[in-house]
Amino acid sequence: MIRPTLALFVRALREDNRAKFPTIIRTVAVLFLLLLVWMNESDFAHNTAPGLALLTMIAMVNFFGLTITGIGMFCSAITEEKEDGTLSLLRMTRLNPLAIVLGKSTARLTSGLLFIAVQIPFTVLCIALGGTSFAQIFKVYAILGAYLFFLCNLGLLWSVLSRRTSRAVGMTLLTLALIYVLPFILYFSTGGFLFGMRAALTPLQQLQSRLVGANPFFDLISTVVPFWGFPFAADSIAPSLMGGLVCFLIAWAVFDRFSSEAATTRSPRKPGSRKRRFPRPWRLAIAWKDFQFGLGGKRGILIRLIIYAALLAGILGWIHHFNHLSQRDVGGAISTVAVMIFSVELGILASRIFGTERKRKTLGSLYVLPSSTASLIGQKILGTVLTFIPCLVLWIAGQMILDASPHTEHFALRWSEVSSALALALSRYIVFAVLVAYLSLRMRKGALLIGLLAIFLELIITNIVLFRFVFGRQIILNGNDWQTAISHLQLTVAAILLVTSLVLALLIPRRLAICAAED
Amino acid sequence: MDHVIDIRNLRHAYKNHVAVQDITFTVAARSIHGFVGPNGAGKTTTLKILATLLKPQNGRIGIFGQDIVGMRNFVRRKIGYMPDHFSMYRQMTVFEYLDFFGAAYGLGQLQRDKVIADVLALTDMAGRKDDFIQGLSRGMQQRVSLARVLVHDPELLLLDEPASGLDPRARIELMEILQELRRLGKTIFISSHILSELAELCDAVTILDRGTVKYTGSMRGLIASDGAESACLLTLTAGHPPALDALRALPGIKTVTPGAESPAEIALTFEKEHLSPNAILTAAISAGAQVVSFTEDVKHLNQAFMDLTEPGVRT
Repeated sequence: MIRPTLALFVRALREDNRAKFPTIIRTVAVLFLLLLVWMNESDFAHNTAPGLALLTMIAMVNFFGLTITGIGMFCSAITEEKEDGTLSLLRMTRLNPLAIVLGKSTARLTSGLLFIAVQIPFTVLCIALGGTSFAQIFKVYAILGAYLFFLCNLGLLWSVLSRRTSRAVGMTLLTLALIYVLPFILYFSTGGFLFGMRAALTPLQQLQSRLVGANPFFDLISTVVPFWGFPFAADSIAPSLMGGLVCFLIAWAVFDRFSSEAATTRSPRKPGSRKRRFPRPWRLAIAWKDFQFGLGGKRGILIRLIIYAALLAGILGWIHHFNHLSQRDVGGAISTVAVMIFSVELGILASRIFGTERKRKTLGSLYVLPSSTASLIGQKILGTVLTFIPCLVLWIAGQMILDASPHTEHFALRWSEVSSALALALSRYIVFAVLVAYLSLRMRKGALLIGLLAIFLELIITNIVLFRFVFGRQIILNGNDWQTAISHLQLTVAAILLVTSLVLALLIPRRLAICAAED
Repeated sequence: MDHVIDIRNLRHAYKNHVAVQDITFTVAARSIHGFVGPNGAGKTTTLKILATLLKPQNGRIGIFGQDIVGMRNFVRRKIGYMPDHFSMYRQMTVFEYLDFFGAAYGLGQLQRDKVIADVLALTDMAGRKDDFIQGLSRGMQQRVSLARVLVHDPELLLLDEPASGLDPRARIELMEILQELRRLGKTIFISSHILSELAELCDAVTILDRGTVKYTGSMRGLIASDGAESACLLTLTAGHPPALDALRALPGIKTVTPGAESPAEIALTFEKEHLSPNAILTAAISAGAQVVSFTEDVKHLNQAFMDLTEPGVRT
């Protein structure tokens, strides 16, 4: 009984042991830790608790890094078998649902836990640096481990329920947002800080407090900087473990129902099952195809615009009910949400622009059209860019509200100060989009994930270099002209990112030709 | 224009693996030219080079007299390439799919309407034009794929194993469509790893093995080149001993073997130099036998293929 149950798990562990990539990733993690220590070296002399500062940084980097990689790793546990059509073959063997679910998820979890474990001996350096204790370090890793366990099983659950990895990733992100982000927004927007001072809380307020308290992010902050003193009891380990276990049990219970041949293959659509006809192709046919079939064409734009606007109006209205929002708050919130939605859509569309053609093996039939590669790429970009219209409309609406607010002059005065930061942010978006598009031509899966990780690493390194290392020295060398120094540094990084984008963009046509020939 | 395709000393390698080595052959206009070889012989590489998906590393390739590298867009307008797998936008309907490719080739809306109606009629898909591609059977998808190739009215069709994975009925129907296309003046260059599949369809054939051309020329020439012996199967209305005697008496006959269970089916082998199939048929009829059918043995083509290609898997 136990042998077939563990068969997949053992195989996955063996593969992990033989593969070079996980070892490289773990080595990179350790080197990154040492880099953090080296970068913090300049702070040691004038920091009362350099060990604690380092531990805080390690905890935050791990939390966000694990979230990004974890979602990518765990959400494909079962869907990759469904996409390859091998799940039914697995089910024909002696492997029972428990063996499959356990084997496909636990090996990945083990790999993730090893990633954390390998850091512990080096993180103990924080004690030698001062300001932290072993108990704090242990708790940080316990929180991260429990969070990873929850993430693994949540990803597994959506992987069982979904037909495609992209859907599993989307639903996992949505669930995480509902569990962690939404209660946090509601908690603070409705005066959550005051809850602790009240004698009696409503059941909704109690639920909000508990959900915010169970957020591992706040638990990590409470652990590494306890003097910040959150008003709620932050203990995420037990809720994370319980949540993970519940997700695993549900995944196991529903596995049979969602892994049958009928559930894993999409039933053919009947003639006329689509209610509308798409307009006839434009002269730029490839742009038309990507626009219509990417995110739904004009109707898709309208629907998304209505959904985004309705959600924003609902949330802002709800917050306004508890805390009065100024015109500037509303304008700022709309613009910020527009940028956030744009970031998500940019990532998805950048991974799809060539990735979908590559998966469907349709690049070859596009490549033999009598037009240049530049025209092909240009049309695909045009078809994709048009789908950003809802974000643009939202952002313009937010800006118009901001402009009409009484604090606009004050904001306009600060424009010169933020221009270099804006240039850096824009170049970061460009390099991210180009990198993901390029990676989607190099790998069949995980382009978006690796693109996100690359930007995440760039963010950390740039910020450490900018704000801790170079920036600190600039102040020492140039006196107090810190604004000019930081602006120059931001523009330098922006220029480096743009050059990187250009190099990657120049590599795309050649890669496209190779992929078209491979199809 | 005598030759639509003119390949001279083509060589292409993937890193250390030489896919095609110094191959030379031509394809005549308005013909169906088979391109046959075992798996890994280099057929798909050659077809991808012809379709402008790969650049030839050595040698010269002309299509309609134009260099394939220098005149890429001209060549692309003249060819219709169908790969060996289904690469389709399955969320589209048949009409949307063809309409998209028509527009991508620069056809106006009215022209597209007419062309799409024509190609749907030719491929017998007119009744399914509003169906989603995703819901079509493999044979139907192959027809849509062929319709897509025809939508810009190319003069040369490059078809990479179009019958692969189709059931016998779909194969026969596909071959009928190809014959109709030949009648319409198209040149068809079709690859397969089964020679007998193309035997009745093709005017000429090129056999490729391990990246080199083993034979190029007419189909009849291939049969003639296959050693000194030939074989055929003669079917009579009933067993007829006098006919057997007459056949055995023919000069150049090697064996005359009536079927053990059905004596009316007679397998014959003969020397091609001394005896023609016509003489065999005449002898049987003269002896008073009533002939139901007379076929050259299919195994003969397969044997020719086996003789030309080397055993084992290419490494």
